Amino acid sequence: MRMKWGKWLMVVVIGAGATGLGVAWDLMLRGVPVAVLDQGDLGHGTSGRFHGLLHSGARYVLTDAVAARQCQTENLRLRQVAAPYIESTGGLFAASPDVSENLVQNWLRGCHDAKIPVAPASPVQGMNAQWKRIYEVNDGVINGYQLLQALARGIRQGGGQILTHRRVVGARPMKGKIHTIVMEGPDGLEEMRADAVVNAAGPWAGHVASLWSDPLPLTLSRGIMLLFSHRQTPKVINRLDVPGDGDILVPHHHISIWGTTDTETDSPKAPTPSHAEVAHLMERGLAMFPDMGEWRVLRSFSGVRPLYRAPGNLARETRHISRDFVVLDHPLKGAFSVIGGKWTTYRLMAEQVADRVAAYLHYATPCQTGAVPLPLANAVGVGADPLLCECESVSKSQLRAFEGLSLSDLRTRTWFGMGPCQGTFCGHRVMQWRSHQIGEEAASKELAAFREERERGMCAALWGDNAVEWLLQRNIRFQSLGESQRADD
Amino acid sequence: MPMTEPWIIVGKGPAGLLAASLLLEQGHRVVVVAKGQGSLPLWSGALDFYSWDTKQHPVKAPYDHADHLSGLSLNREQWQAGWEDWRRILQKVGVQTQVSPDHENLLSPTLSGVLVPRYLVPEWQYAVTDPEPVTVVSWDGILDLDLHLWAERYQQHTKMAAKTIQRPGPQGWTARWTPLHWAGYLDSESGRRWLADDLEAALDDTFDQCPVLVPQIIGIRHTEEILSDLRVRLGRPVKEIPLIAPCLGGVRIAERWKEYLLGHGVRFVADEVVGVDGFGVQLATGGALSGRVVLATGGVLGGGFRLQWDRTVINTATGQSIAWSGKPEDLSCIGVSDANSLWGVVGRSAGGWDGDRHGGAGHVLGTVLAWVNAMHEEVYCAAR
Repeated sequence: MRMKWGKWLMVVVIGAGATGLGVAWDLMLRGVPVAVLDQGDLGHGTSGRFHGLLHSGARYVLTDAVAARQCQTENLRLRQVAAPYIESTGGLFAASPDVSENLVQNWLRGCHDAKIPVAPASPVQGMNAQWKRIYEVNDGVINGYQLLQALARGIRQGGGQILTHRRVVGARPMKGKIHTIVMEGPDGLEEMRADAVVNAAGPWAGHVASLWSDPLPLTLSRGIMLLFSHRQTPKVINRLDVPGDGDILVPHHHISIWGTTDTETDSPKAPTPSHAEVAHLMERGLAMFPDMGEWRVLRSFSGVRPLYRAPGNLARETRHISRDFVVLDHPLKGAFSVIGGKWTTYRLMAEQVADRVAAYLHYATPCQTGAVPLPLANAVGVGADPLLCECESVSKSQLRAFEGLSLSDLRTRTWFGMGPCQGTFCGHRVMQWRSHQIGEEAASKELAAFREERERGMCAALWGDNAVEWLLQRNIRFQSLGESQRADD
Repeated sequence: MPMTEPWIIVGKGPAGLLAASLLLEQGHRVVVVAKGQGSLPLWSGALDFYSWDTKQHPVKAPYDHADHLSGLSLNREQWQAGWEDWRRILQKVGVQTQVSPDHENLLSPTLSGVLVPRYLVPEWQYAVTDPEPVTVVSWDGILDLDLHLWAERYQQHTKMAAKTIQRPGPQGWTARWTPLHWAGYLDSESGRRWLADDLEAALDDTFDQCPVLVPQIIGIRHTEEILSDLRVRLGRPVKEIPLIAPCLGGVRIAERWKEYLLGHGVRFVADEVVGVDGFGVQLATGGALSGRVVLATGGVLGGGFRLQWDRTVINTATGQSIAWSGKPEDLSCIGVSDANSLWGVVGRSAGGWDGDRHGGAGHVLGTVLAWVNAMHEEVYCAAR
């Protein structure tokens, strides 16, 4: 096997989520050569499967003062360095009539201590009129995929490498130090020289650390979310209470995300939400928004949180494991793992990881990510070319900017297939375009995988117009397009 | 014929219009109530009887499988007479159809270039008993039909050659024209002239004995005229490949059918039915209609049933709640399987059909025939 990548000093980051890309961007700004590997595309894991909330920290003031303060500081910082990818919606905290006044006062005090600005507010349309105690904080919305792409762009522009669709399968030491990373990619096995390796593989971090035989105190928790069409509220809405299930509504682009749940799980792969979980979320939601049953549901999806279980924390429920993060050294020199954390604090996590790695490699340059803005997206001309995806206004020229990517990667880059039709009218069009590059057979396979993924989410929330849409999709696929239902052809 | 009480058909998809037409022919007064435009625009216009067997293989002889449809026990003669009736009604409506001489399925291409079995196919759509070489012409901006891919699949599938010709749009065309824009343009005098000139310029002597296929955009009102003029001018048949919903084939049939029924005294009421009993229906706008009721409201896709988040299913016309297993694959057969004596139920609202591939039109016809039979029995018993 030929050493394909990296002849000189190199830090390999495993995982192209917010943490991994954040670490690589940070190291790159310090002048450290980096490469990021991921088994899928950018945001393949937890970073691509969250509610999109830029926390003010107010959610955590009752349970985790440190996390609350970190969120507030990072919230303000991201508005500076990642402004194009943040929506300053503001967020409301509303207390149900069942919540004691004592709890509300504790929460207000906690916000004050964490320096979170709070102001009394009036309810938004559609909210349960019984919920009268309402406060506004500086919550916001993160456009996660766009922010990840901006980080990737910055890393590449600085000379770093991002290798997606490569699964790390081995880590070879030399004289007690990490030396080589072995990965499996589209062209088979490849090796990469590594002077340090950062395991930012999120829920897969346990698998990665086992490659150098050092198990991690990792607990996995899954969260279910429901996605509704339209911005059902102008602001983020939180339940003012001790954090629980179904208490965050986030307006995101022109949709809304309602979440979430918190149950322990053993697989890092995001599971299909069950009906019981979805029904539980709906019941919680109806208490806050009595009309939620009439909202146009699009799909349900889940994400898996990697949580760090501190030694001695015997909590039975994953909700009682801190959302804090830790950076761990391993007996294998040059190997670091980062576990836990939240999207909102990805930059801070990255800074602390990069500090450790830089110190190990004797780099003295300080962190700059708190001041250097992320690069802007390349403007893609929309022009008058036809729209392939009408729901999300994705034109052929926008796809061309990502030529070479698979259907499912194109989806997260351009957002095609994400609207109310969930690919019914655009899946085959994008497949046709793709077939000119990779041939009919390969493109059909990608379409089948795309359909399967979309269908799974739709079927997990099968009611109202979404059920109608799903049946329309099947009719179009099997009648108009003559797609095959048989797996064998 | 002294029929005082009218029949109220709820829904104007294929089942509703077929039931209305049969009642009309028997001399009844008919009122059609529907809130939407009916499900015909979701259909290509081709009617499939029984197209795929339980292993998803294409079916050649649909009569051999007819028993699988909805568990209806109709014999071959009843089915054949039913299809003949439907064909005859479509002819009266102004839609000529093709059917295989030995009552087998025809083969008709989808927009992805594969051939699928169809039973009764309008004349404008390409359908054959044996595949043959073809020339396919399309114009810029017809997004759903990718000629290159179409030809590749057609050749793979049929072992027959397909010559493709891609043409620019006419003057004034923009990249965002939908098939409906195209149809409006081609229905006009200038559009027709442009089309004939353009096809003549595009075609050469390759496969000059074989048909020319075009996407289904050839007008709504004047389709047959345009296609027959083209045949004379080009010296070979020009036929359409159906596109994606809204399908012009279904739109054409829906418009003509409604016009025919209106012309024969059928009343159309645009309203939503919110209650049904043995004496008539209540309307969302507050009024009521009295008469004998047939529900042709469709399944979940057509709007006859609505799923709630808690897995209850509401019959939108009666307001009643019915059961569903919770399994997505059972959604297409949700329906009123125990049709009661107070009102008739036809089409997908009758349920019992496993959806997607087994022959939507066969199911429509079967449930309408079953209802007609039941009704006759009832009338006969009452007379005795």
